[in-house]
Amino acid sequence: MGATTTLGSSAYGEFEEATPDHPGAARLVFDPPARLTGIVRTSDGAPVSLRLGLEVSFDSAPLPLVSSNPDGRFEFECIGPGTQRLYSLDEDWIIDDRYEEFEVVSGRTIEVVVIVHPHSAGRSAVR
Amino acid sequence: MVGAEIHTAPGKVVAPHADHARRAPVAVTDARGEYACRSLPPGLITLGASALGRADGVLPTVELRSDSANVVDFTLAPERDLRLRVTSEGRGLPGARLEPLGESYDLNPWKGQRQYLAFWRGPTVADDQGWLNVHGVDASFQGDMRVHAHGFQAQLVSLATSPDELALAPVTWLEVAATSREGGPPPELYRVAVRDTTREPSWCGNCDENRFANLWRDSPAVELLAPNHWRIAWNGLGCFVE
Repeated sequence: MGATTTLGSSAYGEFEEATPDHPGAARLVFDPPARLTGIVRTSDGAPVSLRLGLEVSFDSAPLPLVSSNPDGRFEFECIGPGTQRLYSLDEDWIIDDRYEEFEVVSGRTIEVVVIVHPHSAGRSAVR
Repeated sequence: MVGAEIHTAPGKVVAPHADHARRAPVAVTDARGEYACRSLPPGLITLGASALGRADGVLPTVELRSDSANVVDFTLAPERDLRLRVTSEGRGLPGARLEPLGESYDLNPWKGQRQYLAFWRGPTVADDQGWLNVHGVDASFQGDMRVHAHGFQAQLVSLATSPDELALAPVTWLEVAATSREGGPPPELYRVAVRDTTREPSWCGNCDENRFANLWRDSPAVELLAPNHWRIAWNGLGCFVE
């Protein structure tokens, strides 16, 4: 069996043999969370303020959300270690390849630079 | 028929839905068996009728017109006498439920079975002795129905015969507890994937990789003991690996 936490950590294990009279039990130990900080800017170096989200699991929309400030700085104080994907949730800005992927180490702080581009094509409106 | 209840649902009813089951009838027939309803909007609508001792009648979708009176008559056949006791080890299971098929999951292996309950019928719940008294089923119905109870495996029972008892097997409980390695705050579980390794592997390795039951905190098989501690009813409703 495997499990994912709301912070995006994964762990795997096995149940004790279970019978209808004896429940199977599994105790999963997850590594402590990490911290992700960074700056969002354009390819020209201009800081960008937008909403960012992390994908916790393949079957969910990005869940942990933050916004970068006017200087482009953002911080996820508590995220699961391992591979994390960061998405732009602002329809005016996109990240190359849709998301930026980072390896996050348990108990450490990782600092990243995220490059975004204006997203102007294909906009629709309801009036 | 006196006191027959008229039910409606907008558009075409593809499958029963909990929203339909909560609705009161839009009209009740009078001493002459007639009803009138002046509050329905024009357009496509599904109409049905139920009465004591009669099989539910659901008509094909009709289009109501606003520029003239709409006359919709029903003829209801006798219902099947359907009384069934749900047990485990000889004891009745109070609260066992019989639900319209198709209301559960996309992964429901019984999806596609013929519906046997009309769209306004909610689940039938067993009484203190485990008896299910099912009303509205047509006498000619020969299909299957699904029964489940908390802590027991769901089961289909065929109405091709006349069963008077259905024994449910208990589920196998699994408990998952999550902790943090260095004594930090306990993590909150988001998803748990369980695989039955007691089964024979298939010839296709990729198929084996897909043979997981994926569970979330709101899955019917999950009891939330704590955010980091789940109790899972393995082989319960919605928790199985084909």
